[in-house]
Amino acid sequence: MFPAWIMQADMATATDQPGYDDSLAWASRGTGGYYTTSWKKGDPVILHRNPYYWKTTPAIDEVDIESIPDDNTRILKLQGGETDVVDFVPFNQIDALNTFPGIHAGLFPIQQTTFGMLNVTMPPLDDINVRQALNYATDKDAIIKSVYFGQGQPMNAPIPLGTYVDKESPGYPFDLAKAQALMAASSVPNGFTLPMLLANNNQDRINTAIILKDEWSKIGVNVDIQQVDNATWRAARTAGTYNATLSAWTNDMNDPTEIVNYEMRGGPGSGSFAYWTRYNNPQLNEQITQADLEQDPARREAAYIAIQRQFLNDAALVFIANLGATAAWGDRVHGFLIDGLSYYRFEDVTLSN
Amino acid sequence: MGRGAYIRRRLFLTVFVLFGVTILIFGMVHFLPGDPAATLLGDRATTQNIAELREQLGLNKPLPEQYWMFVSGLVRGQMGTSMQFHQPVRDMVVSRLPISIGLALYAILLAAFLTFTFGLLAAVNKDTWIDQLVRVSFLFVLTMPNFWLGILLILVLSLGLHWFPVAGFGTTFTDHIWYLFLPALTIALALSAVLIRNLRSSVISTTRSDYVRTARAKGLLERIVLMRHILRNAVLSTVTIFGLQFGFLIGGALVVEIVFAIPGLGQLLFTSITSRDYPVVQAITVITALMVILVNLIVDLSYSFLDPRVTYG
Repeated sequence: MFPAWIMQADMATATDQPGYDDSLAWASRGTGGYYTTSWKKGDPVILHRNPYYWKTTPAIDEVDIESIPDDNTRILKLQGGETDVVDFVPFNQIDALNTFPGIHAGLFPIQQTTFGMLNVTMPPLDDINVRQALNYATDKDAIIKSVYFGQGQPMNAPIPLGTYVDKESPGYPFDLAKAQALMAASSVPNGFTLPMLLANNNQDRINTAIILKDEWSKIGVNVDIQQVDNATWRAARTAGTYNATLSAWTNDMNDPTEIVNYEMRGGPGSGSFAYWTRYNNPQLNEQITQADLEQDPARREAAYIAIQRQFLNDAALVFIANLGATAAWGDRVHGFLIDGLSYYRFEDVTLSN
Repeated sequence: MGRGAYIRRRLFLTVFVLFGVTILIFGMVHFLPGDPAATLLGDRATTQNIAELREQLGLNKPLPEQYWMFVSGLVRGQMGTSMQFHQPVRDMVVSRLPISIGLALYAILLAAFLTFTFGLLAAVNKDTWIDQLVRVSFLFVLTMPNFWLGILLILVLSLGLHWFPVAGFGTTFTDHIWYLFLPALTIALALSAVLIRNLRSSVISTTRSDYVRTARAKGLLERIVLMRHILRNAVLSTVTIFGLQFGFLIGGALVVEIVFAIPGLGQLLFTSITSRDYPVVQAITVITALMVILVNLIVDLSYSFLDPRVTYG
């Protein structure tokens, strides 16, 4: 429906062939502002200016992209003048970096959400009252303020802020009384212990879990935070051997078909089992199929909004926040931008002396 | 047994030790929870994608078959293909090994300088303020985690004084020396904190020996007594401790490579463990084990040079 790019058929299928040489892809020139001649994974990516770019020729002739996993090291390199731009700036450092001479830090709006995942096959999470209660008991503003230092918005719709997002979605406003009432009507009116499995390499999610532990204790849910390494977490999530966890999503495309199919379509053949929650609503699956095929924009939008409302009501996720992309850059950098789909627009960047 | 025969015997035994290491590391990585295919494919993977990749990577083969492929490849100098990087593991290791060895040697040189300088300084000024200052300072260093010490050095020497770059490796040989100074110093400080205490105690103890008293009575200059008679005997235990600490040096180097963004084996090992890149983890672990064994062999051999009374067999 909405291709992210157009390519030759043999190129699209070539990657599936045994013995395919990945390096070929990095020697291809597209229509963008920059191109690569080669790349080996693990090495810096060197972008060369495309002199035939259809817009104005980019001002910078070469962009070197180096992967530095450690947050502190990236920021120190920027402060030391050894790099011009860094991304994934920790939220708690944005304000501090803006006080550093010659450094600017900020947030770019992108289509990114963070949420809790509830395995609906694990009692009592199979009880919709419990799932809705957890949502109502979540003070999103408190999490955004404490974990993301105010750099986010409450997640009211179940998909990121992009095309066909349900702008009128009621979401789950923080309402402790309603949460308690739902728990009283649930299969566990006296509360329960909820194991929450987390990857130990994401401090934001760990901090979010700590806040949720406090918030949900008020409705009788005792969160047992269990930290494991990322690969173990991912395996448990895929296998469905977790109870609750936290995750995030960033849209690759500006159409909801990707997120809706990954997040809301359940059952065998779905591939992702509704973002691994094991939620499965056959009626919703059919609605998704129809929405994907709908060509009329107005009907398509209405279809996706109906899907979002149903999924919101079924509460397989705990909807937390819409987040942006953080970055910091030096004084000599002008025009740096991360666009809504998380592309870095180097063709618009200029450097002053 | 002469030195040559001793070396041959130790190298022969090394084969068995490495064999044991391969069994241990193969077992450990394969019984760790976590699926390499799921980790490599990331959040967008479906169960079908994961199953296909597992098949492609040979992860569904029986474990004994996978182990045989690993060991037989090692014997032929083949280390498999990285699941994450899609490159021959041997090529990746060969490109990064000199960097890590260079960093380790640089750290050892700095540690030797720090150890001898401050260990002797503290020993000859026993119970003075100099002695106390050295001991307290390096005790403070000993309690600091490597990554924290590294960041502290960056803040002071890079951002504050602009003497050294923050991170990276540089392009020319001179660049490498300059870029690696802070990472090597970070490792060296942690290592020398242990060695200084030992050398100081050893020197003080040796100073009380009869032959030292005799040397002084003969009228030898104090620095000759210190360097030729005291130090040469006192350093034996320090060398032993260095050999034992070498394994920890390698572990410390891993953290330092991450903090300083050095493209060495340590950084590669870290990303490979988290992504369950079995071939890379196995290869680097075997190489690291081999390095530790060889360093300890060198340490053992050094005794006969330091003390002619030491024989083998």
